[in-house]
Amino acid sequence: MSVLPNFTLSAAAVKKAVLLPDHAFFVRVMPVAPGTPPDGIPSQVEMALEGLSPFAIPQLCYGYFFPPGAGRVLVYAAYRRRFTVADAEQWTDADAVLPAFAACLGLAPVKPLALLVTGADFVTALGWDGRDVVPAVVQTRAVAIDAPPEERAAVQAELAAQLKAFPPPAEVAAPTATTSRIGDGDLRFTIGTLTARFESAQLDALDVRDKTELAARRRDRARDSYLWRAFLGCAAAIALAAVLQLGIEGGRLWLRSRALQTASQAAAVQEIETKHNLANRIEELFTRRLLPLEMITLVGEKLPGSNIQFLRTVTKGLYVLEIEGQTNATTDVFKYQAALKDLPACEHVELGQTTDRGGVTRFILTVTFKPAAVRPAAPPS
Amino acid sequence: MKAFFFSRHSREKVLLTALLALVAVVWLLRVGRSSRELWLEWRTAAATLATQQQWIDNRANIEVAAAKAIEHLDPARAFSSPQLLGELSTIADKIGVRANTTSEIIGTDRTSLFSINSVQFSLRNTDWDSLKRFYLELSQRSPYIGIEQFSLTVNPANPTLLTATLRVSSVEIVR
Repeated sequence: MSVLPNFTLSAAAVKKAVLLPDHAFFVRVMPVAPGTPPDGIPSQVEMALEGLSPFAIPQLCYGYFFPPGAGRVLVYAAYRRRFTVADAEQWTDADAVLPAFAACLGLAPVKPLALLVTGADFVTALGWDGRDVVPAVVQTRAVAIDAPPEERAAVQAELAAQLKAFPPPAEVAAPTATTSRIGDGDLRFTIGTLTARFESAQLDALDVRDKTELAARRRDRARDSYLWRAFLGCAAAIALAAVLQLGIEGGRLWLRSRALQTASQAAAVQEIETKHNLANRIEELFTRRLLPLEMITLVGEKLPGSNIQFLRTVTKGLYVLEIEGQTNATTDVFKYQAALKDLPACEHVELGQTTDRGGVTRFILTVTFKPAAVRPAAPPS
Repeated sequence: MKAFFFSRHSREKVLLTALLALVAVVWLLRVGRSSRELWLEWRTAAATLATQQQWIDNRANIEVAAAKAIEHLDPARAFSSPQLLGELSTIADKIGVRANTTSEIIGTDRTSLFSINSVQFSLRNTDWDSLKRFYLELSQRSPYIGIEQFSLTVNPANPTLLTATLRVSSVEIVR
């Protein structure tokens, strides 16, 4: 079962277009001066409507069709009061509100084409001459819903006669709904076997609703578009996080195998390491013996004449002797340090912590001997 | 998905996006932290393995060096831990300071070829000459017995009396 059952409800997922009866509108095709920029068209349309219509612009529901580069503009308008408040309420959540014939304009044929679009209470003739994507002829007639077939045929014949300059007209039913899904960037209508398609920017011009309201809808659309991109970005980030998480889990598995390998080798490595260390220690026992008494004798030779008394001596490694001592003459410590520095076997002498309490100075001297400079004492005879 | 998103009310769209952003941020932060930890563990594991591999690669050389280190040693003159204790007591006896000594076995490091035994030995309240004689006697057992650490403390009450503490090691051949 789907988590989002609305996905499968095609009716709910399809965009909503309100297609108004053609006979409610008067239609004009007007030439446009070459090189007129698209943003100059709305004012030209409004000026034309003011000349054509007995009503002021705010009292009209109007729209126009002008694809970029076209040599003419198709304008249509209806008196606003021809539509009831109930009609207008249905328009609020619609993606587009336009006369039914306007849905055919998206066919934008490049060859001459003629259509007789039949609705429940109207018939409209559209003729494209092949030189422009805006039709050259648009004529509409109202027909009573319960009109007998003969009357309807007569109206169609009259309109067909107006399309003599075009190929024989194809009779098609007026579209009643769009085939585009919510979220699609365009709006499509099926006209017979053909598909008419409009971009969002074109729809704003075709839509007959109040232009201020349309501007607000445009802003909403832009905000929704940003939100959708942000939504996609977040979804992509989550997908990336999921991939990274999988990678981390894979890495942890690898680490676990490494840890097992490390553990399995640890005993053998420890054995090798111990062997190496012990071999070094044996080597040291042979070649680099610790000679503590020889070191003490060497540093002791420099004591006569001073008041220094040793308290403790400790070896640090093979060549370092730490001496802790005391004296009642502080200057003797520095003299003694200087004397030790003069020893040929001595590499370095450092005076560490020194304290003076009750006339007795306690100090720590660290003496580093040169390797192989200290000779073993002669064995007892 | 796009149709579902666009068919929601504005508030729902904002909430959905915010929720998704929150999940994305929290998850990415967590993944970032885990990645860093994993990277550190990875480096540690790689370094440990590399070190182990170095030891393993050098195994043959180390074994040759270890065998070479003991090839000139006479197993008959080597000392086990109890033998080392006994030898130290013998030397102290010979010098006449046995009563002032204490000794304790502190450990043995073993390999398949040899062991090194360590003993902590103390010689308390002795004079410099006795200490020196003990030291020279001990030195004659080198390299089978060696001093690895040495400290000498003067008795504050009587500066002629010394206390020496030694860590003495002996080599034991395992064949």
